[in-house]
Amino acid sequence: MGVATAANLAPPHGRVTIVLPSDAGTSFRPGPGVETAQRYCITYHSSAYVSIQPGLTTVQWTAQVKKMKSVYGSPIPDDQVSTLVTYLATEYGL
Amino acid sequence: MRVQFRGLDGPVLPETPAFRKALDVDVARGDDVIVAYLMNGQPMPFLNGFPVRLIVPGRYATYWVKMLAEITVLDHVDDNFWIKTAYQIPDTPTASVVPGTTGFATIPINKLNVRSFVTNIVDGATIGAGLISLRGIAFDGASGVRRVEISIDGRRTWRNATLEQDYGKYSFRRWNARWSARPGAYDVAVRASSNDGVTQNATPIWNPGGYMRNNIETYKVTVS
Repeated sequence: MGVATAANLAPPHGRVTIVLPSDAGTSFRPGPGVETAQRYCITYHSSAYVSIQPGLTTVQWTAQVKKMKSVYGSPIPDDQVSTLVTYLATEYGL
Repeated sequence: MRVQFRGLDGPVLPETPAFRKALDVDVARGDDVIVAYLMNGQPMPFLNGFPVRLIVPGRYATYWVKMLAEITVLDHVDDNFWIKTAYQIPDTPTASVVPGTTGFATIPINKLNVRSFVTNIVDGATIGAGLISLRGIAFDGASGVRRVEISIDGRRTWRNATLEQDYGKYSFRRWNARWSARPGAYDVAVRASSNDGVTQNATPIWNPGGYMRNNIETYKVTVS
């Protein structure tokens, strides 16, 4: 690492805008139940976090959704779990 | 003793475990671990962890805590969620278990393993016959890259690639190799070996998190 000078140590000031990388992914694929994914999953991670990984079975998606509820505290209601699992297994299935 | 690091980014919901990472005190005190406030001579960009972030060379990015705000020395093993429960790998020599296995002992993920890629040809590419320059990168977490080899016959025979400048054991190591390509279908593969004697395998490791994947990359190439 080079020696820092006073000039390049000056922190940003005023209003700063952050442009998220274009590969962050904030939209899930369209399909029945996408509103549920869009509402609850984006709280935790990008849509790309789902789309760049291997597809999962319904059983595996069920385990993932339950983990997001029990371990990470997702407020997704119990009566919407099956809607979300069906959506994920359809659009991001194995 | 452990040294625990906290960044300014907190969970969206209070029910979500707050992010902390810890290093063994001997690792944290090493010369290589730094608190960085500049990147390429400029203030750390926001998305990279402004104003300061932890740099832990050779270890997975989960330890590179952004927006570093607090450093705590613990007189015990860190039992926070992100060390004890998340980012766990099998406690086996290659972090691998038989797929589907449960109940095995685990440890926190730590050093990067050796890996390499071809960067100027994509899988499925069609290229013209003639003298081809293959290029790519290799890296290793702990010891640096000793050797890179390429194969054009589906990993049956290998020959050494030329290693380019060595910027240190934690850096990408660029490599190149010449190939007199004749028309046909080829499986082009690259494998790297580290200075501590580990060579990439053809068979992927397996663990539930999908961590540390480093099997040999193979690219199907058609020469026309």
